[in-house]
Amino acid sequence: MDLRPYLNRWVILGALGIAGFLLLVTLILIGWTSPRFAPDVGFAPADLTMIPAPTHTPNILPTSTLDPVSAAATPEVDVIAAGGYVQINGTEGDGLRIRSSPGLNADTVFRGEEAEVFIVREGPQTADGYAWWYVVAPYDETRAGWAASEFLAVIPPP
Amino acid sequence: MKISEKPGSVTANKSAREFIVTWDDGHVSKYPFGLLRAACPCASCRGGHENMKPEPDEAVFSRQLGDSPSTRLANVVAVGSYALTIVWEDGHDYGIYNWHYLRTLCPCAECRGGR
Ligand SMILES: [Zn+2]
Ligand SMILES: [Zn+2]
Repeated sequence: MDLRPYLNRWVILGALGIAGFLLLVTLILIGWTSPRFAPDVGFAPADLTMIPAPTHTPNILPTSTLDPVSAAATPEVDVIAAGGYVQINGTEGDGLRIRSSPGLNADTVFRGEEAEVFIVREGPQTADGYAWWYVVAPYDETRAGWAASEFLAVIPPP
Repeated sequence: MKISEKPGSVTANKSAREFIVTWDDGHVSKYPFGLLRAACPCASCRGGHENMKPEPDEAVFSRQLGDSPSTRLANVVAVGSYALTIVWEDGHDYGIYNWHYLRTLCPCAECRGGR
């Protein structure tokens, strides 16, 4: 029997196409039925929940005429004062030298960390062009010294 | 009961700024983000490899870090089955917190009382 008339290019391409399709189907079926890569992890990322921060809605103050008496009584928020709380800010993660006395030549007692919170005890004293405040860590009285106000941000008491 | 160092679930609550691990033995550890950052176990935060031990430094408990990009948790990524990497909003992501480290970092009165 002479098969040559049937072996034109379309028949060959068709056969190749069907073969490829069957191969694909086989691979998909193997992929579906084989067990997932699941070793005894004990902890999987699925056990992790993220609760997002509330979307910040700025407090829109009602446009009211301020009572001059109560306005005067409101303490200023952004001023460092003894008894208030401050946080180290703007050191790019390097932290801030807390010194044994005001001034850039005083010894460094320790390095306060970026974002670290302190209670202001006394000050300010001016030295080397900076205002210095004596600050103490809330949970460690030994973590105390003079800090340049440049890198302190006022925060509300926790 | 033996203290478990296997976590059941982990929750990063950005709203309360709190990281919560529920352990297999039922104990629940709540870490303020500031404590977690102060206790970052990476070599640069701990002052070099020679200072690295498997438990947190005692000093991290007396440090209080306030709200700032460095204490805002951006993401938590599982490292295999043994640890987590915490990504902070200031981009710092070198700290690998393994389960033993986190368990010994638990700031609750019960866990801290034993020290
Ligand atoms: Zn670190
Ligand atoms: Zn505990």
